Amino acid sequence: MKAMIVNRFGDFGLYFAILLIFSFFKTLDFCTLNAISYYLNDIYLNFFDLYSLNLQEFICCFFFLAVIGKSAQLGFHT
Amino acid sequence: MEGPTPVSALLHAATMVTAGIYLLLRIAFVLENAPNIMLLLSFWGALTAFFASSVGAFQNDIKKIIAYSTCSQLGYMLSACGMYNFVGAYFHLFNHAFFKALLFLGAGSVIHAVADEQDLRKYGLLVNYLPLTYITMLIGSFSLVGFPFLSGYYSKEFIIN
Repeated sequence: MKAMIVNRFGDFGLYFAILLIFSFFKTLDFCTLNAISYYLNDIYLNFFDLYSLNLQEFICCFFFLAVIGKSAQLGFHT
Repeated sequence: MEGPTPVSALLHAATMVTAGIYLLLRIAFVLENAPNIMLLLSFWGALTAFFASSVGAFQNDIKKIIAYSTCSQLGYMLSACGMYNFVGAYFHLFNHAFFKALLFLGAGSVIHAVADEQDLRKYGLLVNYLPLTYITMLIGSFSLVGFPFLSGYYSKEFIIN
């Protein structure tokens, strides 16, 4: 039971990462993303001029959550 | 993540928990432009490798020991990914699948032979009763610790280099 709930947090990370990629680039194709990824670092998200966030690091944070959730790393182990 | 022993041999060795590392390898081109996240991955993997192997050293269940060892090796691969050594991580993932499946099936053989007893403290002198299982588990363990000329030696040497 605990393992299942912990795994859902990891799935959340993967889901949000895919959602962010699709909402910004309108594609999920690996070849297209490979061509785009070099310019990913220049995009910043602005939240009401309060602070800006690098889009690439934002996406990678969610991928990081997915990886440590799926591979049962520290914090998500059972 | 408990299950019957052949199922956990499949899940822990090749299919389920290594899916995270596989995801990391597939999206490597996105990750490698974000050095902060790579540093975080590297530290997190090293921390997990240390923590999981320390916990596994104090377990009494034979399957839990092997499962914590899997967790530790995955941390090792994550750490290698964080240091931009994706090829080494994939090589270690491949070799780890083989010797960890061997260890799990050997553990299943032992558990079946001693009438479903999983407590390590109640075993003893099993080399007299299960010589073939003893030899295969010895080979798997030597490969896991990186004994020269076994598969774990080459992949761990590649990561550490």
